[in-house]
Amino acid sequence: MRKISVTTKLKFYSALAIGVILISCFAKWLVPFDPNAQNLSIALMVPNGTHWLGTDMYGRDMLSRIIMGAQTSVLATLFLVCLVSVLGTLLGVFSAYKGGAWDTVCMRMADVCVAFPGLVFAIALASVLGGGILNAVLALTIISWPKYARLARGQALVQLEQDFVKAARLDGTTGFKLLWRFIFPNILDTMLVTALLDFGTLLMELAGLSFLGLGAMPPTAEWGAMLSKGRSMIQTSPWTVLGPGLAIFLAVAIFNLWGEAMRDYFDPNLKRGSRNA
Amino acid sequence: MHNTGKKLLALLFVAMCIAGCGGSKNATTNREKVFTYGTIAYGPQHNDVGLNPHEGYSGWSTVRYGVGETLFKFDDAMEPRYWLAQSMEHVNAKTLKITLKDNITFSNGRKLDGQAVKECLEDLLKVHDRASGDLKIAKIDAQGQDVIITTKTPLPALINYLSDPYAAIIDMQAGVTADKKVIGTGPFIAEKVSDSEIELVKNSKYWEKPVKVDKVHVKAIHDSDTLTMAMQSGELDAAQGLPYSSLELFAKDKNSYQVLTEDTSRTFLATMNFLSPVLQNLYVRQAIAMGIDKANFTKVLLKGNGTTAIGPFPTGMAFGDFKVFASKFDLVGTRKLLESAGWKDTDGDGYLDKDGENLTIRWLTYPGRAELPLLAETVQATLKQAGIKVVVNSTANFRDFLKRGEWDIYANAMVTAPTGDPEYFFTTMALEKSALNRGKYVNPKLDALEAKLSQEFDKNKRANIAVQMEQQILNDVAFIFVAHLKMPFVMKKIVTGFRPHPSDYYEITADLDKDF
Amino acid sequence: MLKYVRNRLILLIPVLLGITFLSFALLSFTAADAVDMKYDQAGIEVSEQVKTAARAKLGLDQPFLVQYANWLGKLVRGDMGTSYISGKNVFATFCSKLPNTILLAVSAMTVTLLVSLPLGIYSALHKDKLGDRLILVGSFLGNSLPNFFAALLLILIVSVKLQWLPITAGTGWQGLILPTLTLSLAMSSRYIRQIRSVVLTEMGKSYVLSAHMRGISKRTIFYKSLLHIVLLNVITLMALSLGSLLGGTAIVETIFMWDGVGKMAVDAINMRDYPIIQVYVVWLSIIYICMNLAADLLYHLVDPRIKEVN
Repeated sequence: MRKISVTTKLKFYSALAIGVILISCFAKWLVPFDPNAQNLSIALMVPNGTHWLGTDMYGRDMLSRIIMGAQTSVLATLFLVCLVSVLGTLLGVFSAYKGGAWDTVCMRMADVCVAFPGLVFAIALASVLGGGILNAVLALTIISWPKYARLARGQALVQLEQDFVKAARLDGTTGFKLLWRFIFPNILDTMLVTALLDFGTLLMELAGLSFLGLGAMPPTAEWGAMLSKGRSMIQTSPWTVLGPGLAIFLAVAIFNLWGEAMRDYFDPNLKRGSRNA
Repeated sequence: MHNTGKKLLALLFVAMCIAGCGGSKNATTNREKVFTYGTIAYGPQHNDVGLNPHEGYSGWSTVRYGVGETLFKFDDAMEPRYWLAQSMEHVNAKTLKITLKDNITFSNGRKLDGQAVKECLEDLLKVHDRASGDLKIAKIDAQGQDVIITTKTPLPALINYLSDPYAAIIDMQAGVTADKKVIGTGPFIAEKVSDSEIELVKNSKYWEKPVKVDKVHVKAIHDSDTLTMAMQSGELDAAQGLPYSSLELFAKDKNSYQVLTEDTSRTFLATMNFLSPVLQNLYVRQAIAMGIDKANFTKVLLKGNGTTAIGPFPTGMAFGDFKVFASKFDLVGTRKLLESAGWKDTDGDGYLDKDGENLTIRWLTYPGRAELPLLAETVQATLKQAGIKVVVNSTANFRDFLKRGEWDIYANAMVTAPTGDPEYFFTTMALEKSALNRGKYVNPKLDALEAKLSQEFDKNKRANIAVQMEQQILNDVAFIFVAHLKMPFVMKKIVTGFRPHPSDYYEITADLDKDF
Repeated sequence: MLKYVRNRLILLIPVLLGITFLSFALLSFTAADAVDMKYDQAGIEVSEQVKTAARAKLGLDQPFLVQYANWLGKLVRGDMGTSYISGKNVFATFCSKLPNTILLAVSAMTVTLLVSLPLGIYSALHKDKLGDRLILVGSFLGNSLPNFFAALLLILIVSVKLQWLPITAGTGWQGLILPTLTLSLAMSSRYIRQIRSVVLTEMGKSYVLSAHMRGISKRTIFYKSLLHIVLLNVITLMALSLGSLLGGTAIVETIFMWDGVGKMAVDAINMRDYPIIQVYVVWLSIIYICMNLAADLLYHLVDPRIKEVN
């Protein structure tokens, strides 16, 4: 197999990922049919010439709904992933660096957030704040940040013990400068990979809260919701489920590979071009 | 060599004995008939675990699975018929004398007499809050095979309430075991009860007729897809609670399965919030009612597992849909009505507006019953064509929004006539002092009619008054009734004597049989 | 060391108090309570008088601080209360279902490790070759497939089409196989990628390259010096995974009718059955704190360079 350079790989996957994001942003103009137009007389049509991916139970064009669904599914999930991983990483690294009381408080707060049943929290939040996508993202952020914090903290603790970091500290580098130059770059790859690995999970968790009114409200198309609602029809009308399923799979794959390509490119320990180990 | 030979012979001999024994057992005794039944309706979240009818909704389990029986039971038109009772007499407006059949015993041998019924009902009234509220009984006397019930006020629907499964007659002297088993008069006896499974054996002393099946195994399966696949794999002989979308998997395989459906009074209805400024105008409410495509909803989204509703009660009942009138789906008419109410699309955004505000309806519903969100989305689409913006709020937290008044229309599923009697719907939902009159609908004419209904004992006259009341709420568009649901049972072709009932109360009976 | 453990465990008490209080408080914000859930069954509407009386009997008409204080008082005396819905003893109910959850958790974790460690390491050591690519695609599939979907497909193929296993097998060993596979599928996908990523990072480091140039094979380098880094990462993942597994995976338990505490908890939360919710929350707190503690200790064991901050 021809060895592809790291830079090419990054460019390729970046293009794919940006492509997905662009589709999400411009979905409205890319759809062949109105994704919300119902026509009960053509409900559950098998994929054919007019409707390439068939129609759903209301007679809406599946292809249009999947393209439109990218807007909510991809953008909202990416937003959630960024929010959760950045927040978690920052808190985790600070905990590792500062230690002492800050570390204890932070980590015990993380324990509470993890041990506390997320469902209870989501119900209460939905009850007080109402539904919608933003509230769903908020609920999931509060539920999910501890994992990243723990991981980041663990990684940071390892890095802080490295000789070159100790040397830098002896040299006088402290605080944010130290973290920015020595800690964050070395934990970036693990955190990035973890974050993007969670893309699929978080997408489905967003859909999983919809029974509380949290998440996309009808008639907005959303892949996770399409998958959940369509599951009873997998034997009778499989296209209603395979379409969004495939979309999720592709998005997960693309974002994961993008993350890996970024990791390969930015890894300070690796010499570019000598990937042939 | 010799020893090994002997050992081998001995082994062979033993093996033949075992094979012989097994074989002869199969040859001489009949195979046991075991009926395995999967249902979605049994479990802690339904409050019907265990077989004690005096606890929550467990009476439904007692009657459904053939362990207990009530004095009266409903026929297919939801009319009470004699079951454990054989005759009755209204001594006066407040006193009813019921005579029991003479040949009935509990499964432990105790004879069913007035005293046993008195003990059971008295315990029911003592412990069960819903029952005591419904039955309004002052005292019960027993004389031989007679039971004399005196109510606090005249109660025309007493017999209907006595048909509710909470009134299943059990032997109070035998009591309730720790794992919630009871002794009843039914065709089956409970052997094992847990919160997800019930094992039953046949009651060979059953009073009415011989029981054909030896054992029944009830399994609770709460995931509808798992239930579907368990039916497909052959592990279940019958299933209740399958999603409508799975039914065609079985309906098309006529050699292996049969699908039986029955109309029920479980109805999808939409309640109007009379405190909402948008819905004050009758034309607006009428327009919304005309903007809902009930026929297509029932045909396509319910996959035909329902009948289009006009009023609260299905056609099979004496006061059902065939007696009342409401307007049909008509988007043109909708526009006209809204225009005459002053709503026009002045800014060209597709939605009608007035005084700078779009005509917006907040549709509140819950996802617990899978078809309710389907209704919400299809209504959203058709009303959009009429120029009305529908904002759908489908949440398990719907009570929060009801309490705060943050809704215009609330759509839910309700059993409108659980006891076959029409009065229950109105007293619960539509009168000024009704506890569940969420939309605060008030019409003195309705209250006056109810006053008459509460005193009327004649069945036909009751039906007439009920019809008048139904037409009144339809004219006021206090509620929009969308569909009456059908309940399907799926079973293997070899199963007979098993069919759904409009009340949803009767499932396992002595008629149940399974060919081999 | 012991002092450290003791200090961490002492923190259990305020955390427990905090969490149980929070769960009581948060749910009391919502308009629905256990009485509503109990009586609003099967489309039957019940009058307010009946509900009010029922609330008084359960003490649900009191302000939540009073309710919480009552619960705490009973807890101190060893009584965890009875379910608002079923009336059964809460602790007994919990204990009857816990072994099932533990069994499923252990079996899923075991299968995951058995699958993901070799595959993840293999994938890293043979990066970009066919084996790696195949494992990659497989792990993306496992990662993007939601739990319920994997379960559905497994049942469809194994039970319906192939008829190898019954669906309604209950909690015996037969019933354990499919839920374990479902959980392991999702977990392995994640673990494989994580392990592969860690190994690749370490393999690229200069000390590895120099060892390699000196002629030591990749395999030897790996086993001698990289394994413990891999283990470190796996330990962190395991702590979180085991924690959530022991809390019970409600979706999988519901689909396979696996009588565990996950489904019990979700039902209780939806029904606002406070006594059961509290017992569950106490359990969750204990396992998470213990898991985290164990993970931190193991971290220290595997890599003594990491000083545990106190």
